[in-house]
Parts: sequence; structure tokens; C-alpha cells
Amino acid sequence: MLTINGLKARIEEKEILKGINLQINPGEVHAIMGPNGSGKSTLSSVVAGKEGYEVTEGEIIFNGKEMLELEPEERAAEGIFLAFQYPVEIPGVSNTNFLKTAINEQRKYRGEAPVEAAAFLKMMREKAEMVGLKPELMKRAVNQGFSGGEKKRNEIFQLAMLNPKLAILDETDSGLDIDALRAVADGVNQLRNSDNAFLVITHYQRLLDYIVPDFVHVLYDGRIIRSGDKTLALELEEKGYDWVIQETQTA
Amino acid sequence: MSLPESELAVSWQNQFSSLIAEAKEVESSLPFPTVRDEEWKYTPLRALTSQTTITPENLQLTQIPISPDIREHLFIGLDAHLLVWHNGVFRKDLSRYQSLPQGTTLGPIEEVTGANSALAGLIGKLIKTGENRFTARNTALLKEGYGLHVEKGVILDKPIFVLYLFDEQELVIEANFRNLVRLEKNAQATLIEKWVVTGKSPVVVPMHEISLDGQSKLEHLNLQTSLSESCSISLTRVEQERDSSYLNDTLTWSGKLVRNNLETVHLGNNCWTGYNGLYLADSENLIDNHTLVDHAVPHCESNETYKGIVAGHGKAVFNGKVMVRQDAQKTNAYQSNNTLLLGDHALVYAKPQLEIYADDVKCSHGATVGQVDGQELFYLRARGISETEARKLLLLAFAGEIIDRVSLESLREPLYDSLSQRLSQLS
Repeated sequence: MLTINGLKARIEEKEILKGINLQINPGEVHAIMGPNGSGKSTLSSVVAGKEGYEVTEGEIIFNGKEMLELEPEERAAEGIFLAFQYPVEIPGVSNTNFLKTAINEQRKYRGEAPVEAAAFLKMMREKAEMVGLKPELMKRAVNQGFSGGEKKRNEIFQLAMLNPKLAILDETDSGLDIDALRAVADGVNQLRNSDNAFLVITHYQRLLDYIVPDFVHVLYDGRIIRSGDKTLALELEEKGYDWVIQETQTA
Repeated sequence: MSLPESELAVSWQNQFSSLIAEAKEVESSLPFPTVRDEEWKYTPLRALTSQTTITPENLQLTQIPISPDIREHLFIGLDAHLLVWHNGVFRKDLSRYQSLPQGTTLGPIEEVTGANSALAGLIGKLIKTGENRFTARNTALLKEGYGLHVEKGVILDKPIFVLYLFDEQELVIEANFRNLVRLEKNAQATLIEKWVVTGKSPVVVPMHEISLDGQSKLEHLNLQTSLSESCSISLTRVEQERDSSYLNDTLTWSGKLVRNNLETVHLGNNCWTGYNGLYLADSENLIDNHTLVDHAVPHCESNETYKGIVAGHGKAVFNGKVMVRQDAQKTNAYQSNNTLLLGDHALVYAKPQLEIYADDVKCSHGATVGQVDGQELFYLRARGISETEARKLLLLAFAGEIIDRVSLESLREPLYDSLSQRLSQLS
């Protein structure tokens, strides 16, 4: 589904990603862990197409298409979803209008007819319930005045509404209490199926107790320095990152 | 007590003959304001002065009036008394203003000022002939415009909708209007003025003299939404007696050269004045809003919010003056002005101007100039919304705050639609 080969990227003169290789297949959940400043958020931003990064080498192939040539909205319509670490507040744009526009723009890109109003509202109700988002928040402006937990739930709600092929969760667990964390994880687990995939970026192992990954990668200094299964996450939790880093440097 | 039509013109001439004669004399001695005048510093009038224009009267000689279809220019679902000016000339046949509540006078000034001394007395009361070239000419050509007089305690059942339609195809019309409004104690009215240009873009000069007695209430909408490439120089002067309220919504998303002067003076305590403005200038267009709230007496409040979007080589001017005179203790005056600039050539001159001579007052003002927020834009795009659509959504949200302040709910959706359409055509 997603193949990243030799990806190098920088912000201004500073190289952040120094050659990332990653293969994600349908039905898989991958976790990327790593200390602060290792490039985790840069990787998710570059895949989603955020401006301000210069990709100097490599490729991002998603379902056979080179994503680096596409605009962020085209990547979204191709099926890539980024759950933001810091969801943006957008005054004056209602959640409902925002989502309806997003769904219809994606449908237009794929040559599909706009969603029926009744079906859309029904889906809104169902998915909001699924992630435990209060219905009255739908009428409010996007994320405006939402608590930290509500913002993250809103990200997972949008994920449920847009039903992407690949969802990247960028430190979705940061700033969440245990109840919100569980709600978010429950939402994700309900959405998992054999056709879609998840890339969970996190600093802590905690989230991975709830969203159990098939693969765990350690990102350090712009490279994936180790990959393993879910036991790697437990090992990191126990011993920290230093031992992996040291092993890599002495290797 | 109306005169037969044939005698109207004669009596009109007699009534204001000396005022008009004096204005004609003064006009020629007054030059157009130039950028050397402080008040017109950022607003060159070349687009206006370079035009060869014709007044509606002279146009009448050559053109046979046709009946345009005005339905598409009205608001669906808005039941209103209707006055229509067509190429600068009043069209009684297209207007509907006969079924007014008792105690209300409404009609073209030529028709109403003869019998209504309250309205006749307003002409020249707040706007002086010799102020500048425009006031002099507006007086010299005194003929068109509406008068509204609402007597004590009368609340108008429906809004008044004034449509200025220009569809003349060949000639550039110069249309002057003098509009008079007098609300007596406890009277209430809503006035909607809409400009629609479908033909050759005219030069329009509407001037208002509005007098609000105690506890009266007026909402006044100025919809400069379909001016095309017109030049519009407007002056609105309002005087408010105690406990009265005046709300002005000026929405401008068309016009080549638009200058609005909006000025209110408080004569009695506890007045409330609200100004809501929205301006959208692109291409080579210029929109200039000069506003004044004159707090001359204590215990009054004013609240002013102007927002704007400037794109292309567009230019906007906001000069918001709030005067709080020495006697005007306990004044509350708020002003904010926010402009989004799209592109490197867009310009705004923002000048909040608070002059406070009283010491026990609450006054605040804020002006911001910014761009569309990159984080917000990326958030929308990351959800699949195209850049164009995302920008539009953000601009509409920014401007929507002003549309949401229009108290007539039935106008909001069509105004949103119109603005949205306009935002799709930014150049």
C-alpha cells in the first residue's frame, strides 16, 4: 500500500529525514516510536504534503502513485489521512460544513456523486457516537473551544467519516487522559480492517496497549534504526531508547 | 393632501429654488478633492473625474423607459415596501409603497416633501451645500431620492427596500440622490438599499440626512454588492436624540471606486450606534470607508466592526474616527478593523482615530492586517479540500461574522451566496 524509499527531507538547511525506508501493507498497523526531535512528525507531515519541507531524495509510493507530485488534498482523496498532533481551530467554519465539503471534494476527485444530505447526517450521528463526541460540537466551529480530548476525538471522528486507506496518527495520545485515550483507541480498533492500514506515531508505549501494532519501528536522527514486532515497544518502555541508539552506533 | 402630478414639479422648484440656485453657483467654484486633501489622501478620484457622464434627466430625452425585470434583484422571502430607481429616475410603476401603516410617509422626495414639512426641513439640515464639490453638486441636482417619515410610536410592519438599478447600455449616468429619514419618538424602521448595475457602470452619489428622535430605532443596510465597475461617493449623516439606536451595515464587494462617509452625532443620552462593515477590493478597485461617531453627550455607546479582504491590485482605506467630547462622560466606544491581504500587491490603509477629551470613558480599538492562516489552510487541504475551496471557506468564515450581524435573517443566506460567488471570481 505505502512504500517509502530512501526518503530525505529538510527544513531550510537542516536535514531532518536522512533516508527512510518503510513498507506498509493493507491490514497492518505500524508504530513509529522515537525520542523527541528524531523526525517523527516531519515524516507524517511530508507524507501528508505539508509545505515548508524540501524533499531532496527518495519516493513515497501509495497504491502505485508517487505522492510527492500530488497536492495535500489529492493525497487525502487518494486515501491518506493525517490525524494532527495539534488540531487547528478554525473560527467561522462549522464542523458539519467542513466535513461535508471534505467528503464531497474527495468524492469529486474520485468521480463520485456528492453525498446525500440524509445519509450524511445519519453517518455523522453514528460516527460521533462511536468516538464519544458530543453531538452539539458538530454545530460549533471546527475545534473552536474544544478541550484537548475533544480535539483528538474530533480527529478520530473525521477519520471515521472519511474512511481512508491509510491513517497516520501523529502523537494522538499526547495530552490525553486515560478515558480519552481509550475512546480514541476503541474508535481506531473499530475502524481496522483487512483493507486499511494505520501508522501510529507515538512517544510512549501506552497507546500501543490499546492499539496493538503488527510492527514497531524506532526512528532516531532521521533514520529507522530498528524494526520489530510489538515486543520491541515493551522493551523500549522498559529500557528507554538509549540501548537501541548505542547498539546502532557501535554496529 | 398630495398635489396633482402636473403641479408637483412646479411646487418642487419653488420650494427649493433658492437652495438649488445657490448650489449651482457654488458648485463650479469648488474643485474635486485631491490626494493633497487629508480626507482624500489615499483616494484619487481619477476613475470618476475622467468620465464623461450624463444626468438622468438628459438621458430621459433620448431613451424610452423600458420595464426591466426586477424580480431577480429582490430577496426571495423578504416582504418589503419597495421603491425602485431605474437609471437614476424614480419608477412609480415598479414600486410598491402604498399600503403603509398609518402615520408613515414614504416616497420619492419630489412627491413627499411638498406636504411633509418634517422631511422638507431635513434637506440641508445635516449636509451643507458648500462642504465640497460633491455636496454642492448633489444639492444643485436635487431631484431624486426618497423620504421616510415615521410618526410617534409607529413601528413599520415591513422593511423598506430601495433598489437602484442601472441597465443603461451606452452612456455613463451620473446619478445623485438625496435621501431623508425622520423617525419620531419610539418609531422603528428597517431600510435596505441595494445597488445593482447590469449595464454601463454609472457614477452614483447618494447622500442621506437621517434624524432619529428619542427612543426611535433604525437599521440601515447599504448593499453595495452589485455595483460592477461603478464609482460611488456616498455620504450618510445621522443625528440621534436620547435613547435612540442606529445600526448601519455597509457591505461592499463591488465597485471600481467606492467612498463611503458615515457619520453619526449623539445629541441625547443613552444613544446606541452600531456600524458593521465588510469590504472586498480586488483587481484595481478601491474601497474607502471613512466613519465617524461623534460622542457629544454622556452615557452613549458605539460599536464598530469593519472587516475586509483585499486581493490583486486592490486597495482599501479604513478611517474610523471616534470623537469623545469633553462632556461625553461614561461613553462606551468600541472599534475593530481587520483586513486580510491576499497577495503582494494588495493594500490597506487602516487608520483608527480615537480622539478622547472626557476622562471617565471606556474606549477601545484594534486594527489587524494579516493573511490567510497557513495552518488552517493545510488542515482543510489535508482533509481533501482543494486549495481554492479551502481559501474560499476561510475567507467566507472571516467575512461571515459581518453578515451574521445583519438582523434580518432572510437576507443572510442570499448575502452569503452572493459573497461566495464573488470570492470565486477574485482577480
